[in-house]
Amino acid sequence: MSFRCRVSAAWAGWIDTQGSRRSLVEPANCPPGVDARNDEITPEMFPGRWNPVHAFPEALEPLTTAVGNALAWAGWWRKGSGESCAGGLVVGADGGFVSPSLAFARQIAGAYSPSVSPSDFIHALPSTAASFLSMLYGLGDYQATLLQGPFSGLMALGHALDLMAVERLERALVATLSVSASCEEQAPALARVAVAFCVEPTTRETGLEVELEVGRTSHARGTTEATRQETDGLGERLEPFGALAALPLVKFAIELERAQRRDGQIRSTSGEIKIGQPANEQGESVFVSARLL
Amino acid sequence: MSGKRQPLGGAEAPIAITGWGVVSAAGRGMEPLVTSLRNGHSHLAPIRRVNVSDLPMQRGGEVTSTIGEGKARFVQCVRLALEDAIARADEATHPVPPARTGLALGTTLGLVDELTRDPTERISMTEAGRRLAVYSSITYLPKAGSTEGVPLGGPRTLFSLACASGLCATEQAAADLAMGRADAMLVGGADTLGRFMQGGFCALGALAFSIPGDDRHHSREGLVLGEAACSVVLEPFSKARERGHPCRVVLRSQRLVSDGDHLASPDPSGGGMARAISLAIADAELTPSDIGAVLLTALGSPLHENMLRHALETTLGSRAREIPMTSHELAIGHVLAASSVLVLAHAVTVLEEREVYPAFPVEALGTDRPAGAVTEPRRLSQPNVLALSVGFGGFNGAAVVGSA
Repeated sequence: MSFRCRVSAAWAGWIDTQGSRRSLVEPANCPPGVDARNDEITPEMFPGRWNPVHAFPEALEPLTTAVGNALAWAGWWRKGSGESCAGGLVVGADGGFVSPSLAFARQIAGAYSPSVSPSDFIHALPSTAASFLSMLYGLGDYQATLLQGPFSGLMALGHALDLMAVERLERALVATLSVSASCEEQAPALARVAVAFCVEPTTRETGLEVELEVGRTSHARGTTEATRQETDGLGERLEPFGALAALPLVKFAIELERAQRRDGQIRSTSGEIKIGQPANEQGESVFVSARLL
Repeated sequence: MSGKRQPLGGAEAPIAITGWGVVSAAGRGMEPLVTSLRNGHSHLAPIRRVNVSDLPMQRGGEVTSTIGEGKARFVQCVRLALEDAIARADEATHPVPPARTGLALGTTLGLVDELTRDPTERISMTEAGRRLAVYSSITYLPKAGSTEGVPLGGPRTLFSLACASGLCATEQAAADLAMGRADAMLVGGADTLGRFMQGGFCALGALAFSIPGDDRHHSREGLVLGEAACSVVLEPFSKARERGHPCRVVLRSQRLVSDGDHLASPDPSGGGMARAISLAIADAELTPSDIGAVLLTALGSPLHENMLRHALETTLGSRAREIPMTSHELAIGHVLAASSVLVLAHAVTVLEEREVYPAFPVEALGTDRPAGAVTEPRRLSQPNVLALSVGFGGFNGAAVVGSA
């Protein structure tokens, strides 16, 4: 079932290799999302909500950046305001909690010590990303975290659209964080990619008006319909990290941005963008499609 | 954003609860759990299955029967709960059609015990991610007498929102029913109790303490964890009636509200929970005087109990002192993600038996609570039960379950 709405989106991501960080966002090739810039989001922007003396948890940094930029562009949040932000929050959790879980499992495997850090346990919970965003941006409405591996991002968007379609949510912030280690032993690397979509009714004026659909198929035929330019090699750069839940949504945000900006004007034709995640072992796949309005 | 919403299930409302299944420290099914509550019997005991002898809290509610040891104990618990839920829903002229049945499941940490089975093992992040993948582990509908079960034809979704995970699962299930993707949805919640979970809650300082030399009691202030899997079957009332189910209970409303206050602790004022309760009662088109009982979770934690008491007094007013309250946790502990589904199954039992046991007043909550403030069972005065659940990280859930 498709749902007519307006979207604003932003993404952030980088690859850490042996102490050096390389951003995946290269403005010339990979637009930062729909209407979005790639501003830095800093602890000082959250008066009363975050102690600026402390940096954000490293694992959640790209998520904070993507969400801050998407919310700011959608006009749901003002940097530095400390105000609460109305709207539901649906997070796709993919790998962000695995490394903390493994670290905590190792910590707890030996004899218990009172010095075991509570925060290490907190960050091992898949739902902590949602709690963190909720606290930082004052999101006090419905929340959910989808935990479906590479499908988490698309399913998170699907969950939000479902709840909006049945009028259980008025608007929603959908955010996905993927964290994955590469399999290459020579140069071990860690990819962190996050993407955020603000989805709201068409009565608003911000964002791009689209008819969105998230669909599931249960056969191995797959729905990974390669997009026009494969987002300039982003997929290839992230290939060593496996199927990332955030990647289809990043590609989707980039394609929406391109479609909107082509020839300097919003497209008026019924162009369709469709991006999916490869089928899993059960032959299931998930896709998102948009018809530009 | 906090105004009235469409009912759960949209055009397919009301949503009936037609089946339920539970695996807990009390055993398999609601009956042993209810009997334990009625008799004041607790299944909280020293944890035997995993070594927690070095942790400050060594007691919990372990599932000691019906589940085999070894890999994916979590999955075994979930399958049994699903099997029992669907068997009960099948007590009708026509069974629930598997091809039109889906699953929405919630868990705090799912298969996390797979990371701590062998303390000497060093596994990679990729391998850890593979072991934690719950989603691909439950694709069949368990059926009594069938080893493999039958394929689930409806949508499958997996959520994690700590102990409130089941609320997200319920929202998705109701949306799937409303959008015609399924005729019946299994909603589940499950977590198992291992060294990871027990150690994590010890590190947070959220648990009661074991008393040295006394393995029959623990300190009073703090949670005691339990493990459980619980599942309910949700169906549009009209469709369930069509297939000959008696449909005695409906899920009238549900609200999930976030505090947005702290990474771990609830808003001590109870503001978020108060909002969830008020909205759930309003969505059900009821008033506090229509509520006959309140079911609670996260008991023992002074922080949560104070929060709950504030929220109940704010929203129910003088009724808060009259409505009987109870909790499955008195018998089996705080069962994490199973909590928010188990309160629904417990509500069904309370409505069917029209009795609340044990029952205690709102004054029993909070730091001033009298020890063991449990009174005699009380008759249910109104045909609606308010089922509350909380999630780590400031998630508050309120559901209203009522007689059809």
